[in-house]
Amino acid sequence: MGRVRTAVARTVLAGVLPVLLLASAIGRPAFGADRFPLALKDDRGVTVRLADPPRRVVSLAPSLTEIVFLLGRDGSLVGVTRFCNVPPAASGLPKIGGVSDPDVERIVALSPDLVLCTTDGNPRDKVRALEEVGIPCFAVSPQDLEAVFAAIERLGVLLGAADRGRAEAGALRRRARLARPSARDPETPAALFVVSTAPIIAAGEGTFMDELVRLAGGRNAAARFSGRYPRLSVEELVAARPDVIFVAGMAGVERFPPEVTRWKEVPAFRDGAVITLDGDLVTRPGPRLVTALERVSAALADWRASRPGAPPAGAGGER
Amino acid sequence: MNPVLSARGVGFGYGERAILRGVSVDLSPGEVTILLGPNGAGKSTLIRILSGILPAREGEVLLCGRPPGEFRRREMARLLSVVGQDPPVDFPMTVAAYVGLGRFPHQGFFGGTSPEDREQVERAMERTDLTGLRDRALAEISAGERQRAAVARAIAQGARVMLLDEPTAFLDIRHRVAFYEIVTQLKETCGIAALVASHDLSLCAEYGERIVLLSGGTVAAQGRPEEVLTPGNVQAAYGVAVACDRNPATGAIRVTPLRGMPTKH
Amino acid sequence: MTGGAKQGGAAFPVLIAALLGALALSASTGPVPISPRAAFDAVFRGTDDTPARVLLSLRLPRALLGALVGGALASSGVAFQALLRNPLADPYILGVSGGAAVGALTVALFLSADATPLLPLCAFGGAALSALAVFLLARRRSGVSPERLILMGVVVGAFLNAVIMLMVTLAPPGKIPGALYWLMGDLGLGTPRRVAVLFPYVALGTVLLYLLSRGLDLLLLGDHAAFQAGLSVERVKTATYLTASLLAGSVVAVSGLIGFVGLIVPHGARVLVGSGHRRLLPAAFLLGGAFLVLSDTLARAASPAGELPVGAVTALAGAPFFLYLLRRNGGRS
Repeated sequence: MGRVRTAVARTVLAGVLPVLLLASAIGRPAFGADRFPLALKDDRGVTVRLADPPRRVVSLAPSLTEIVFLLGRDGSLVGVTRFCNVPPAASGLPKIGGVSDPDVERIVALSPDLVLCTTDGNPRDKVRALEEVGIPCFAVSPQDLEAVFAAIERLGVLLGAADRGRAEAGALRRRARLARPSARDPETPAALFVVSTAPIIAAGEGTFMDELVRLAGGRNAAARFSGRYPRLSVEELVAARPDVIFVAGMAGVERFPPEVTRWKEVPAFRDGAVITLDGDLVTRPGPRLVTALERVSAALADWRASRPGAPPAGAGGER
Repeated sequence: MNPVLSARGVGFGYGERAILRGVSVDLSPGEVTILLGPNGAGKSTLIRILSGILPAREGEVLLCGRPPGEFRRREMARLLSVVGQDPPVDFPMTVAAYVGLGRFPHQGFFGGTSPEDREQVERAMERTDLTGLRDRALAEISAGERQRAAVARAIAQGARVMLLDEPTAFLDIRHRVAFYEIVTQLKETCGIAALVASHDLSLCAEYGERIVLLSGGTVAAQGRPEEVLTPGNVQAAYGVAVACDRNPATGAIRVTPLRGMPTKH
Repeated sequence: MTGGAKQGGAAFPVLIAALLGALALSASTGPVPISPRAAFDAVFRGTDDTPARVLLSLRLPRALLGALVGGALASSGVAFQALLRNPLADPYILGVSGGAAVGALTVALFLSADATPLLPLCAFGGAALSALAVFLLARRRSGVSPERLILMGVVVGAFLNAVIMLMVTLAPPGKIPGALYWLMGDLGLGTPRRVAVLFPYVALGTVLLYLLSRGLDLLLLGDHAAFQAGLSVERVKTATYLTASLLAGSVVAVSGLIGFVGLIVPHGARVLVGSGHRRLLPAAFLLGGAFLVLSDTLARAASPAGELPVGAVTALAGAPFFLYLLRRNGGRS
């Protein structure tokens, strides 16, 4: 028996080792190894080269700051935007301006060796100005959930925390998978995500909120409008008849005014299925999108469970 | 005849600067008085004081024996009308509508347009030969026709006194003569008292019964044309050497400038 | 007595029909299907189903609001053009828009959502304060001249615009789109209660202006000529200024800054009925109401991207139409 096991072990090693060597030869980091110097292309197609793991990093977007903390590399953060508030420790870091108005001089004064930016919000000419001064800028602009996970992995490589990156991304992917309805449930509730209640501004196709609704097994009631943030009149809301409404409360909680909620033709108002989420949760392309997905999914699962003739809660889906 | 509008010792100025001093003028019904004087002599200011827009600093103004301040606005407008230097009207307005505005003192805010109003407006337009232009917009007619419309509006106002501030400023000889003819007609048929501020030294001698020569804010001379229009007075007021004689064709005083640069005055 | 009297008279039935037609079109446009039968039942039988409630609580108030706002803006525009003797004047020129915006944005950007019902009040208050400021700044011993009014209006307006820019910069980003939509005008805030509250202001303002009609005619001649024609010029100017500002301020408080109507509708109305204000004011009210209601219907129906801001539609659709109207009139004479 021992000899068979040894033989098997040897065959396995013989098979696995070349694969590992091949993998490392292609350039992907081997398990547990961080490869510096490295060259990595960002979302603009610009190749950023780093000789060593960066020690002074500036983040130009709150989502990027959250990712840096998630990767455990917050020790290298020397500058963040004034909107970077998660986790709370981020608020204590030096501020370099806003997302659409970063202060180039203040950034340069911090002598960063890497700036993390995004094309969705940071002005191009300011980023170019930083690059002209010789500061490498890495742009990450994920457009959907999977791209967010991939960004976490790539930033992990970039910041010298590749293992952590893969681990965190993997954990998030698992959570996302669990949040999706497992059974093919024919009941697809119409959900509406709004970023403003007066006027009613909904999240249409192409937004993260739209993706969350679809992943959670719902149908975006605002999908028939073109444009990412269509404005709806009260009548259009009534005509759309969403079963569940999510309010992405920016800068605090927002409620629909009473003259809107009295329209009981709208199932969401009739059943009280109006759920408020922190706006940052659903608009920042960062790890907390998964938390948002879990909340949305829970709400839709509640809706399914409350339908007449629904199977009792707990069956047909994992939580 | 009793003067219907008179100024007694009127003075006016801003701060230290005096524009008028001790001006006394009488306007009587059925009489055309010409107000002459160089630019800056104070003619427009005097007309504004006589019409009640500016208050006199010294002296008094009496309209039918009472100061202008005692009259209510519309009451005064029924007695006195002014043709002045008005800004152009930038909106479409027909001649008939414009002339019709002169009837405001008789209608007020809420009064309708009575047959009397309509008749007065028609007659005013007839006198000024504007009947054919009644439906044209003010902006489309010539400057001379617009001037006539302003006179028509003052006529429609039906006032007993008319003050006209350089109404012939931009008009050609044809329109100037026409204007003075109209004023003469009004004085003869309606007995209005007219004061015309003018630069037309010869024409005014032809049409004016009295001349008031204003210079440097004071009345330099006042009286019949032959009394006022002398070479000495004209030289003193305008700094221009002139020859004055009687026009053999009309009998009115004729003022002819002599060659030579005007002197300072 | 006025030229074109026949033409002017014929215009009124057309204008009234246009306004009623626009109201009917607006009431029959929307995503919720309402059959004529359902509409009839809603109005005359008091049914309470969804189409009835949509018609009576959403569509009709919105249409009526559009008529009131459009009419008020047009009347106010007529009055300001006469007061300032300037064809380019509009209801916002003397500080009303800047003040209203500062008042409204203070609530929309910096107060909590619970304070939203205060927004119309603050907008109106801001409009009133800035209009008053412009008036007092422009006043001199000799009265208020149009030139000085315009000058002070521009100065105060520029200052308030700077304040608005500052506010938008400091505002929490999530609140900015809502604020921007208000700045572009929004009739969707019409509820039956708001229409009922607005109606007396608009009625009062338009009636007052109508009573001042002759005075407005005379103001066009110039201050001195108007004075000498028997008008108490300063009193009429003050009354006109306050009434027109009240009209503009009250509608802006409810519907935001809808531009273009107050500037162009007066000119269109002049083409139809002439410059005499006795005819012009009612004609402008009807034309402004019809125009705004139609624009709002278009704003709701035309775009697959949800509602367009009605202020954008009034400019886009209105400019070519009025250009045509003005050229046609200019060519005729």
